[in-house]
Amino acid sequence: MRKLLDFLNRPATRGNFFARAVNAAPLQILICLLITAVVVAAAVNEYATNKYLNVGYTPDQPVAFDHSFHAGPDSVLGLDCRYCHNYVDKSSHSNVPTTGTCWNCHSQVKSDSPALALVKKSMETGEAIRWVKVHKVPDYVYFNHAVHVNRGVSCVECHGRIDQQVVVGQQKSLNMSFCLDCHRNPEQFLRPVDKVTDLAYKAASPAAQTADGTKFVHDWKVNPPQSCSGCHR
Amino acid sequence: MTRYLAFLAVAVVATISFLGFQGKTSKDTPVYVFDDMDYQNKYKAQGENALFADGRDARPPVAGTVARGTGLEPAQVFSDDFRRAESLNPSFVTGKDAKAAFLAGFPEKSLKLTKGQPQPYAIDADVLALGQAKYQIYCAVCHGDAGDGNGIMKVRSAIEGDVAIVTIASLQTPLIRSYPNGQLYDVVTNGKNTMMGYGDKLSPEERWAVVAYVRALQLSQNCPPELVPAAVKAQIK
Repeated sequence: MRKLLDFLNRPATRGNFFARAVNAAPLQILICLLITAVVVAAAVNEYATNKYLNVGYTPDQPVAFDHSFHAGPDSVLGLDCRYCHNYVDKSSHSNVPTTGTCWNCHSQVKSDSPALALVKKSMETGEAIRWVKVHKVPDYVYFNHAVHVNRGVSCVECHGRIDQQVVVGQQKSLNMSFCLDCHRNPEQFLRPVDKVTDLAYKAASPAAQTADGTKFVHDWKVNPPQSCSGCHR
Repeated sequence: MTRYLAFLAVAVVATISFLGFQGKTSKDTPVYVFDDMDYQNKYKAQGENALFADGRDARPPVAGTVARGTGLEPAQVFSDDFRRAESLNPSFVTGKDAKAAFLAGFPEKSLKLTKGQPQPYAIDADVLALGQAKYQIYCAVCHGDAGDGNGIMKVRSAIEGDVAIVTIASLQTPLIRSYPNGQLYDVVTNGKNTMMGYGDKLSPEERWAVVAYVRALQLSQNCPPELVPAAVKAQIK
């Protein structure tokens, strides 16, 4: 590099209108532009997608509900996801539970805890608890929970290990290529329907997953849409 | 050039220290630079709505509303002789017969309509499997996997020193065994004592399936010897 610059800045053999340093300018500009392009591309790749903008969104909730305590076979209580999100296998929308669902147990257990004051108030007045929605897809995306859950797509594929989270945050990008990864290769993701809410489930090996998945795709006639209208309308 | 590259390096370091890397947790609502039509001003499930007094998007259905997804054609629904399956076969929904007494057995007709008539209802392996799945999600929390009342609720309430420990019923008691099916269905639907109803979570079909599974659990814990399969008998001895 030094030698090259020396060569470009060598003394002029004839009279020269420009300063010597100008000889190196085109190369220097080119190098700067290239480095800048690489840096900008890296920045766009890092920051301009859902992987940065949405993943990690972990808002405070009005009631500090701890999923890792309540939900999943390894938790203290071992509740199934569907005890609270009971319409997930019947409706396109997976519901946030009613206050009454909390109260099924908490009318008996820890009902006077200050942590549950808002739940108690909601139970008495009928006013909704304003839970903060974490996982969002754009409003022109029509994701149907029931068809996925009833065909062996686990909660964990899109929501991650909610059963290990104290405060729920977004773990997956949920962008379009994320959806298509699975829609193009469903056999890599499908599992037995009774394992859908077992977030720790893993097939015995990648080969077993492919074998199981291929069987499920065939048996359940899984044909995930890849056309625009499959998800957008 | 050196100065420019130094400036660029400072800019990169500043950006990273300010924005961090992917996966950084944040309590701030995600920023959308170009939000296009990502957020549309429309009614959404469980959405908030200032227009209504209760602040909710969701409106309660008008009386007599026919749910979508029942396989009924609009022409059928709007014909003069249309009756909802629930009104044709109310005992499947209420668990009571025409004289408001609890059904002793299972309802004879289901809510499935063929040519406008409810079809026979029978308990088979599929119904029991459905009942087992729903029981283990919704009921086992308190009543335990075997229906003995030793679910996780009892354990936790003992630890927390709350009252639930005395009020969780075992489903294996002679009293509850003696309940007619319709009464079990009624308890699942509307609750009893400290138990709240599960009618909002389970459809009538699922509730009857749960009743069938509870009967199976009761049989499993109190099985007359002549009903035990020979293979299982050999294991016991």
